[in-house]
Amino acid sequence: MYGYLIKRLCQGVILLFVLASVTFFLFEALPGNPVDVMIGPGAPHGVREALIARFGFDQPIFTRYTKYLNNLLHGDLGWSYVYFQPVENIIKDKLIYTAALFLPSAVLAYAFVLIGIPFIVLKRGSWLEKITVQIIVLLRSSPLFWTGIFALLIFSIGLKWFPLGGMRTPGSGSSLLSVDFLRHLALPCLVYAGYLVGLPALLLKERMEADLAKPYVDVVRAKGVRSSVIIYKHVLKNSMLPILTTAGAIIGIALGGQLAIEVVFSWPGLGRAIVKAIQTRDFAIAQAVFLIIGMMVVFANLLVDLSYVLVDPRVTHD
Amino acid sequence: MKKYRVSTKVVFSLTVLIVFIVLAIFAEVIAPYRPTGTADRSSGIFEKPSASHFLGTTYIGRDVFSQVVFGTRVSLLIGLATAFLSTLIGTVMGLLAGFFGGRVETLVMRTVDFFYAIPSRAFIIILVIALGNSVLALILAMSAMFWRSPTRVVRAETMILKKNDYVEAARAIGVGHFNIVVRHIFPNLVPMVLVYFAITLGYAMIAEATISFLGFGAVNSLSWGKMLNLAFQTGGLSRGAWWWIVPPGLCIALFVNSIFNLSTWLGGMLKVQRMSTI
Repeated sequence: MYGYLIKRLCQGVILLFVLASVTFFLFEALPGNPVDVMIGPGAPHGVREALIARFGFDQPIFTRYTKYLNNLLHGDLGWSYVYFQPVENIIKDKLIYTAALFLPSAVLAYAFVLIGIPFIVLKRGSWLEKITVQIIVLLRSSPLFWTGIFALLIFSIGLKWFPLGGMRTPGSGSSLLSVDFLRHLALPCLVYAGYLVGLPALLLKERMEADLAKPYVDVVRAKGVRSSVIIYKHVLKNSMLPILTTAGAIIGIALGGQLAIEVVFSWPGLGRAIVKAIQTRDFAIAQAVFLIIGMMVVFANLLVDLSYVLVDPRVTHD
Repeated sequence: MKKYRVSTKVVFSLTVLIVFIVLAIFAEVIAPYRPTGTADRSSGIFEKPSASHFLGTTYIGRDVFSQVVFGTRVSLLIGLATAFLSTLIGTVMGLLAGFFGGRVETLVMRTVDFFYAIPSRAFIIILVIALGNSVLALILAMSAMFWRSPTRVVRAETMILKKNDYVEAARAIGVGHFNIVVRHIFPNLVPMVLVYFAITLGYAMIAEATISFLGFGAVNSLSWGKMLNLAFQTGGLSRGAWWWIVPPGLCIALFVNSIFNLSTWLGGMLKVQRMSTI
């Protein structure tokens, strides 16, 4: 078993290295030089070249590559030429804000899946099941940003129940646990959760329905156990495994959706940061956020794989 | 011939699909106005739906309905091209990996793993910028991401198929690799590939809409996503311009929903194993 763990860890490290390298070369391929962001087109001759030399952009690409890797290993994420600050300063808070949106939404989504889907399976064949499934598929078919705008249209502008976006009322400086924050969190969280529900819900439902045909269900029912108890206690436990295995894919989907949600709801997180960074040609921030998100996905997948070993040891016999 | 009743859901989805295809092909005939270009001077801006403008007007007075109709063509074309290209690449890669195994397989699958690890949306956006913000760039960038799913699935299926007796028999009489793959393995993959094509089409349209919405889409064409980008950027939301915001997104949702419903039905009909939704 430990051999598998070591192997997996090594693969993870290699993946991170490849990720960092690809990130570097990907952004190198983009047109434009960061220096142009600083000075604009009207600068006198020689200024551009001087700046390029000063910041080391004229060095050969391999030198810059090794410098980049070296910086990363020391925790230096680079320098933003738009904000004129270390990238670290700018994205420190954003990481927390992103988590503040992502975690409640994920929890809400999974709560619904683990409680609601067994209920739906219990009532299979009913119109409730059909409607719920269609709604889930519909939420998965609509672009997340549109569902967000649509929700804003109805609940913020139409009914005026919720604010039009943002994380807090500007200037209030309220903490992360205030009512103000919760009011701002409510709508994006609901929309995001609705989107995240899609994959695990359908997966769990299918697995549970398949399990219902298995003999152990008949045995338990013969013992006289009620349907609801069977579903929640026995079948659910056995069907939960695919959710774990697909957690990696779900995280990928979630992070993709994070970008859209943050832009629509003006949420000051990493997603909006990278979109803005690309728009303003602030490649230092874009590169750093891209790397961070990639690293989070790699770590998450690693965690999932490692925890899967605990759950199903057969995996180690590859 | 067995009687086979198709559910209303499938019929509805098929109808939706046909309607959109008709809209795309006959856009010039159906749309009352031109979607872009100089605006009709008699229309006001941000007008609510009326008799002359079924879905109202945009921030500079263009007809929303016409834009939706023409947008169908753009969104559909980009989606189809992406789905086709990525399914093609994915199938080829999956066949190579599954059939030859060994180092080829490791190379392909590790690459696929990498593409699963990087943030997909951000990667596509950066690639689109690097390739120039054109429709072609969009298609290429999206395909560069979407080929990863079919590859895994095709590889798995190929590995199962190549164990069949007829493959061994063909090898015994000296049939070359290429012919085995093309004549024996690939035909059995076709149902699965078709279903994956449909699913990829759905996701490609959503991805294109999202990328266009964020402002990174093709510069010269007007897709549904681009319409939503304009609506959002010009304050359509704060003005409550629901006639501009709801239709494009609703079209996307309807179309993709229908695609997903049909692909599930197709999967059942062709007896394809249940696949995870990417």
